[in-house]
Amino acid sequence: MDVPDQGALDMIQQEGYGWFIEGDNEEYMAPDAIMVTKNEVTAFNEAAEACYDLFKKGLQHVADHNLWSRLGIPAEIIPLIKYDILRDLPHICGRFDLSGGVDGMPIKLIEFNADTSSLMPESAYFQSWMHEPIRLEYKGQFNYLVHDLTKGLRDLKNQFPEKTATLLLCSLGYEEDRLNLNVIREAAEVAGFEVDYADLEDVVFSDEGVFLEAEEGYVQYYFMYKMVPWEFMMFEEPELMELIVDLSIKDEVLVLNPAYTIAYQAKHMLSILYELFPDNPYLLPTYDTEEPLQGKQYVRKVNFGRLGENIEVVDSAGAVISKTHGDFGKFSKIYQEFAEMYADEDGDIYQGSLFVAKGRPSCLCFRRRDDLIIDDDSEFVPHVIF
Amino acid sequence: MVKLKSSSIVKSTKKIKKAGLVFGTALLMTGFISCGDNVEYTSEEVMTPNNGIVTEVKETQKDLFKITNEEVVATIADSRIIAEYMDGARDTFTLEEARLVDADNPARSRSMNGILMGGMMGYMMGKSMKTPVSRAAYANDGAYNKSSSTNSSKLKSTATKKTVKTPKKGFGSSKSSRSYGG
Repeated sequence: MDVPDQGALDMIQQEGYGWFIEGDNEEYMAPDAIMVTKNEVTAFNEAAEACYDLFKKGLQHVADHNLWSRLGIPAEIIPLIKYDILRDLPHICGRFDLSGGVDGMPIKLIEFNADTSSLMPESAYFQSWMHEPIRLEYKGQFNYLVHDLTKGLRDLKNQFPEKTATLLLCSLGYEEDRLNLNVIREAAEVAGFEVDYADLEDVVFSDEGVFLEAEEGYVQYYFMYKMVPWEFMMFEEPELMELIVDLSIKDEVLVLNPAYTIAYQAKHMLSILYELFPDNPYLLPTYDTEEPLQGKQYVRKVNFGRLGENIEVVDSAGAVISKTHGDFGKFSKIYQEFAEMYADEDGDIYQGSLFVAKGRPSCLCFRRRDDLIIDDDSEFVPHVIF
Repeated sequence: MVKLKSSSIVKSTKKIKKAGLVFGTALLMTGFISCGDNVEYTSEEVMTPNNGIVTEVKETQKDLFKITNEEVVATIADSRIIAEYMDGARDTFTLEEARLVDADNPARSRSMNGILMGGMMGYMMGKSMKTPVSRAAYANDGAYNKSSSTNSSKLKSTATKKTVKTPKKGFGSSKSSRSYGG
């Protein structure tokens, strides 16, 4: 069997990312690369820019017509969403999942991982390390993630000059999430932030702000970037939600990604966008009910699903032909027309992803699977431009 | 699109240059702003008075004052300290003036301020309204009882009540078994 370039694997290990290539993840990094044309990269960029614009318009529509409950967003967080929109708090990082885009296949939007996007070390670092041996022979990679995150964070610092630039990175403690935050760390340090990491359970929330306990007392953080989804706070830790809303509105802390990204993250936004822009070439027909898609192949997804969990692919006869289980079955569903994905000669399907930093296209990556649903068991595939 | 199998990857001995990454662990940097005791773990309902107090004090021995009477008045700005000295002289101070009075007589000033703080005037000076008045500040049981019961109840009934949340941690514990990325 082919193996990824050993130099790249050593690099991944040396830099502290061994988790991605060990144990269950031993085969996560694909042994090969995908070649895309410059024009295909340009088309992915145009799609991401256009889709981001759609989401901004969708958000405005939701705010104007008070459609928060349709998105499954509880009342408690709405003041913060509005505040973050009002003060133009930047969307540091998100990732569109897209189908097609190669071999003349049209690009379609699958979903927007707007709040806690993963794949950051793989996209920013690993694929460039894996690509390095062939870099000189081809035309590089569309990969400016660290650069663009750095710029975004530097702009953020300049936007709020009165705040001390201390940034707390925070996750629920899962290794992959912590390692994703390393990319934010690198960018933030270059941007001039003092950066620390803590698991959420060690973070102290008081009336005065967000702190970590240290020997010399309490260390306050004025910025916080979380790999803790907004919906986790909304539904699993409502008291924390209330504290964060309160502290943010009092300007005691600035939490990223902004609260409005929960509206982008909610899958019901996809059905709202399709209602608003039915002729947009990037949008798949998407509905809150199943009826309009009967007789077609479609996908059932949950409003706040992640990592390809709780998805069912239904064929035109109404039979479930592929499904994933997961932790998010309690949420309401959306129904999205099935999008053809590019398949290679082995029958593996590919999903492209485009990172956006402050809403601008920043980095392309691909995942591959031998099934219809791209989930946590997929392979990560580096790309090269030729 | 062409899938580029690794067999066609050109091996290179060129050393890959990459800025060193910082591996994320919960290291605390001492260069940050330390907030010392700003975070307290005893939080509760906090009351802020809206009424004022007029306190009458009497110099019972040289430079030693005791409270002889206190009354609740409409606003904090109406608060007054009426002092009667051993020589029979009387003075009336506002809260602000009370802090400045007898600057040339620190012993007297300390005594008066200590007594005021022990009584209801203390609530105007930042003492927690949950701390009862001190018997030692009063000249007699009558004055003490009046302030500790009737007057205190009256002041509390009109106070602004605000719940200060206990600083909390431990959110999301035992949730580290899966990724919350997407």
